[in-house]
Amino acid sequence: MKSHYETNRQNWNERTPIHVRSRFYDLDGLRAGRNALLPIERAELGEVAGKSLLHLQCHIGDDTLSWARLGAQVTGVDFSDEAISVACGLRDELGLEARFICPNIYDLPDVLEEEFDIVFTSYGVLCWLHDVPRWAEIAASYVKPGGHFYLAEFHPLAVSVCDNGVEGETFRMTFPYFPQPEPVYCEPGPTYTDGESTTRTGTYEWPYSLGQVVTALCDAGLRIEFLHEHPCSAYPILPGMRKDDDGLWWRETNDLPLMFSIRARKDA
Amino acid sequence: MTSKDKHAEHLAMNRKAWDAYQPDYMEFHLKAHPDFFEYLAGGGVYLDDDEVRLAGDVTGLTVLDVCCASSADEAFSWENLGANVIACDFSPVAVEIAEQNAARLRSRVQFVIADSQELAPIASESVDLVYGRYLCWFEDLEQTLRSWFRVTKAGGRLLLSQGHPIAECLKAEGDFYRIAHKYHDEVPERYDFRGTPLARQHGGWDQSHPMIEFFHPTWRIVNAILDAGYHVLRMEEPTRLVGSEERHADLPHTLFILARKPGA
Repeated sequence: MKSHYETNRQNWNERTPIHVRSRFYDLDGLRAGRNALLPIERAELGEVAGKSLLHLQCHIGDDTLSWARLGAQVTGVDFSDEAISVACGLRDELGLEARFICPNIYDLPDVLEEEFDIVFTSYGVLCWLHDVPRWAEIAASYVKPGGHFYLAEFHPLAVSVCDNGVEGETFRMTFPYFPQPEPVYCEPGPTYTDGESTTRTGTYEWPYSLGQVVTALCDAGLRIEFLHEHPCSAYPILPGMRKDDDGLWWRETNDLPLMFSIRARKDA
Repeated sequence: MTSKDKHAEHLAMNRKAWDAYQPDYMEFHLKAHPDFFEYLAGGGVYLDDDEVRLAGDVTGLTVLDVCCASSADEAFSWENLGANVIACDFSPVAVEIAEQNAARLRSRVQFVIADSQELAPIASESVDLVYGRYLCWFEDLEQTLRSWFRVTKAGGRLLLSQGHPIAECLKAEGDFYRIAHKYHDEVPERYDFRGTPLARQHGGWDQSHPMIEFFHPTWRIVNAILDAGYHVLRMEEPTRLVGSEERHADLPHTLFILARKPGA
């Protein structure tokens, strides 16, 4: 398990400089005041001003800093030291208040003991986790009584067909829908940003299902407030998608669930 | 036409088809299960193992089956597990045949003719476990869940058990799946009803009636459950179609949701 995480950390360290110069992350836009968050999480999480927010798997912190710009007191966590170093640099450059720390999420309880109004995590987080129930417990442990947990993620159905599985209105499964103990090894390839660069190291990714995630959050003591399944995506996860003005990618036919989001509350 | 009139028209159309099918459905059911009466009289259970596990011990609990049909095999099964059972169907013909079956089994299941979108004859807070099924027949999803919630006792539960919306949309064709229904398309689907799959296994049904079905994606079902006031406890998505051996090789085929009414 440790070696899988070491491989994945290496992969994310290699991706980080590619992402920093990508059009996808548009860091110059961020520097000029652009908010990196998508309308989905903005609308579904609501007002964050004055609230404390823990961002799990924050990568280079562009979303974390965007929440800070909206008035949240933010802490970002990511296991890639390269990504956290970029996040700290951006924070200093933008003159924002933010704390960034770098443990593996399963080791977070060893280094962070605190409760937050909001625990937030989004888009491409679950496939890096070998133990979803334990992840849910850790996430829930950081939510204040009366506070919220929020997840926006790629739909397991979209994940299971996104690797060249779709041809028109037929497709084949190229990745499992259901959780399994052993990860799937994915060869090094283009990252999801602009497609122009590749990394040398592959990844180990774990399938997850909608039912597994919902049940894990409930078992962790959170009360689900809503579940949404979205016909659009945060990046062109399938071929032939078009981007709208809000940065969301759409399939012409709107025929599949491509992302889902969940808000849950820890009852006081 | 108001949406209320339209709903009433849809309900009447479906009831007509379901009424017409019930006597033959019971016959097909007996062909598929020749030992139907002996099995149930001996304490047999036709429920899915996962349903029994999710429901837990139902001894002494009041269980409501929202769609029992003429065979009412699940209603009799809950009774065999020790529950006091109320079983609804919107078809008077289905309830009449189910009552004949109950007499033969000396069952105490209480059969009620009711549209399970309203559950008008069922008292508020009278049910420990709502056995919720076949949301595809309920046009007003939110009203349906509000009614189920109304009849649930404080601390009582809902076990939703039905075909998975993904399986409704994606049909396996060899190594491929075809998108047979767009996932986000909730326009009601009209079609000619020629019997359930059971009829096709026994040479087909000699009638055809128009019916209308309502597709509800998972997120709308979950939110209707939550908005009614239930707390969701579990969601499971097995590859096996509930109550059958039929499997989607790689994708969910059944949606189970266990939820609880707060209080008590």
